[in-house]
Amino acid sequence: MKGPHWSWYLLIALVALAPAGIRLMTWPGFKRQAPEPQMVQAGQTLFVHEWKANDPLASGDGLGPVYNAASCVACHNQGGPGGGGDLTHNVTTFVYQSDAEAAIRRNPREGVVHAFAVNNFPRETLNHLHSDLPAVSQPRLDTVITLPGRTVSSNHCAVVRPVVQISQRNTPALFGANLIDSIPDRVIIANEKAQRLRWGFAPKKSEDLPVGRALRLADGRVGHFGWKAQSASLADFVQAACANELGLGNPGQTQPRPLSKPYYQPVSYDLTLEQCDQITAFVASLPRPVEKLEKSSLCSDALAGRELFKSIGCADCHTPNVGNVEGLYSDLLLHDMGQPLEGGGSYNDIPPLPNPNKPPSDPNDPPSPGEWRTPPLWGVADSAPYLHDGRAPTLEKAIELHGGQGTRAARNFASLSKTEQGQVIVFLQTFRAP
Amino acid sequence: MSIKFICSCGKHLRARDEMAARRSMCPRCGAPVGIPSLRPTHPGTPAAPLTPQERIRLNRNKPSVETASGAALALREKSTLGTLTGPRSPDDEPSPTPKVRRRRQLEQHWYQCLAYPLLSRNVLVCFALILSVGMGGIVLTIQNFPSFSPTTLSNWFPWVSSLVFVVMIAAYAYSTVECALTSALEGKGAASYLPSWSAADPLKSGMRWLFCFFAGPIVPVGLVVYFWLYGGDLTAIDWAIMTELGIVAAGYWFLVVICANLRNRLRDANPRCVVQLVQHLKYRAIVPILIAPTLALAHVLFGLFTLSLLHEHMFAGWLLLTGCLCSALFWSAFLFRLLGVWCYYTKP
Ligand code: HEC
Ligand code: HEC
Repeated sequence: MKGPHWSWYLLIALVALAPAGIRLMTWPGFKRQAPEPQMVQAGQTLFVHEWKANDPLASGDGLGPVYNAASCVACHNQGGPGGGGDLTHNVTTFVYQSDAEAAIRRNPREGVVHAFAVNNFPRETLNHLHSDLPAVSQPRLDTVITLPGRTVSSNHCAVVRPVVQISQRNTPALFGANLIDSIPDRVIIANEKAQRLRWGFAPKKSEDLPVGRALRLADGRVGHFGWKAQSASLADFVQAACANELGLGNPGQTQPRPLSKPYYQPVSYDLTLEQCDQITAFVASLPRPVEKLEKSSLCSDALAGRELFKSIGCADCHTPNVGNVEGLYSDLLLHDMGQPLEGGGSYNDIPPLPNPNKPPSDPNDPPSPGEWRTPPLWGVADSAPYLHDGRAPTLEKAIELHGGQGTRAARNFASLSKTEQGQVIVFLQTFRAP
Repeated sequence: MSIKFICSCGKHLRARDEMAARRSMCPRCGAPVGIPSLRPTHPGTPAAPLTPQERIRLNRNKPSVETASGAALALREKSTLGTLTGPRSPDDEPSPTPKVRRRRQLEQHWYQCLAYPLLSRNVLVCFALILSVGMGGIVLTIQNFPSFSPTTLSNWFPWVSSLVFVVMIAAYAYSTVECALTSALEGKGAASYLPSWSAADPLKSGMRWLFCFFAGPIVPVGLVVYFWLYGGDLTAIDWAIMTELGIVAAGYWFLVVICANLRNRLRDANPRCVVQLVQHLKYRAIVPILIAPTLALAHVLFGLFTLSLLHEHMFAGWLLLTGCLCSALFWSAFLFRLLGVWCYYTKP
């Protein structure tokens, strides 16, 4: 029997595959554009600028009234403007929920206890949150948590749990932020799916398997930035940073209301959206971190360390490549890291959940206290101290403190021989700031 | 007026008077019966020597141990195990032993094919049980698999061997199901056919199955996987597209497997033969093109769901998985049988 002409086969195949093909073309790709040089220039000025109250560069009340530092670069400076920061610049966040509020299931209040206030303005202190807490504005880390390895606790904040939970955030480096910004949401969600598949169709929230989740924000976008993946784009984060760290309100984020003077009203926004975009452009222009194999004697150690890094399961979360961003060493997913690493709080009161009666295990919930976004390890050698509040002074300590979903990898690391552990550390130390 | 008599298989038969003293075939067991010339008081007798045409017809309908030796699959009919001892010459009279009683004729109606998987229900359920234990075990213990590296190769031994075991069982299950097709293509009546227990046959049909997968369905299946993984949070449109691709993949796979089995030639696994097959089947082609793939898709989705259920509710998940596998084996045996029977009747 004579078959139909070959073009028919082609046509049928095309018709069958067409819908998928058309849909593929509508997918968002990697949006990577180099920021404009003038914008970068202007942004750099703003990034290093020492802000003052009623600053001429700002249109409102300028710096503050409450703030954490007078410039971006004050915190982001390790290895050049845009780098990480030390413990002294840690940001203190709180979650407050009185028993009465908890009883009616009202969302807790969250925010930042700012370190400073402008002249003749009362500083915010922990005491504003709870009368049992001391009147300090800039608590040292060891007064907020019990540092690992300490037996005698100097932690003042444990007494008021669970009504008030205090935790801190260490300043991360911003190098390569543009690349992270360019990763489409769907690629991060692909990490989430791949991890569930890898662990045998594991449930969405796992206690000990490294199965993370992408944080979907209220508007449906997926979080890329912040220790809790709370921001979907670099521009969003910069706007929030201007308002929350420096008290520079802008159309994207109003400045925080001081705990010490809750009814203070700013006259107007301090920054225009364009100024924020300039800062964003500057941050986006920062080069990506590099991998430096310095001495050739260490080279073989580093290569062995890379293999070990994969084989003991670090790469499950610290995935080397995400989409076409190579050498990121993060899946950008939230992982539950266990009780000792817990720390709640976001920078702003989060908008109330659409349905307060949702079961607490809903996969799209805001991050729980134990959940942290896997930090990218690129540039990690130049961003000590480590972990979200900088409690780990060294890489070894940071690895040891992995709990929850990271327990298994940390245990694998501990069971390596001393030389092998050294190789992993040497490997991590090749990740340098640019 | 009709002649009543009884076949050696026990079936009560009736024939018109004009048929008296002539030969016919028993509709149940397919054995030739002589119709008595007088009013029957004794069972029907085995017939006189057969004509050549009758012999050919007969060979089609009986479990052909001797013809199968040349075929890829040495099919064995459970009910004729007793006759397996030595090859018989084609001239042998069919000996109406009690064991042949269960031999049936090729199905005449589609619903008769439903009986096929029921005949081999024990085997199918066994396969489903072993497979669900194996698959569930792998899914639940995959977290203990060491990550792969040449230095830990020895750690891999237990995992690899359990994987190989599950794959082998899957191959056996598949080739058992495939017997529904091959036996029908050879025109053999419904019975419980099994592949030979040597590993070669299941491996062969498993390889044929894989080959057919690579001969086309891999494209839409690959697309579905890519779509699922990189599509972000999937919308209704995405699900519709994935369903469409899944149906295309499963339908083409099904057709191509039948093509490859029709003349037992791998090179028939091409679009041209598929189109010819569809032309032969005419309106019946809706079954392999739409109905079978829809069923297959539903089973795959449900199976994946039960696998993810295993982590939280182990017993329920395992029970559902077993049920899903049973149903999958049942329906695929039925559909293979049905398609095989249709192909047999419409063979050019
Ligand atoms: C008081 C110190 C401090 C100052 C001042 C500060 N930051 Fe930060 N920055 C932080 C901390 C702490 C984080 C981590 C916050 C979090 O994720 O919870 C951070 C995170 C960021 C991030 C996200 C990085 C990532 O990969 O997640 C960006 C972008 C950023 N800051 C930009 C800025 C800009 C722009 C300014 C100036 C307007 C600024 N920061 C001022 C402390 C500071
Ligand atoms: C379950 C996922 C997971 C695994 C597996 C994992 N990590 Fe992490 N890692 C994280 C998360 C989440 C953090 C942040 C925790 C925090 O800040 O409290 C982190 C933090 C770190 C840090 C500190 C980074 C910084 O900038 O502060 C280092 C270093 C690190 N991990 C190395 C490793 C190594 C080495 C391994 C393998 C032994 C490993 N991780 C395995 C999720 C993981």
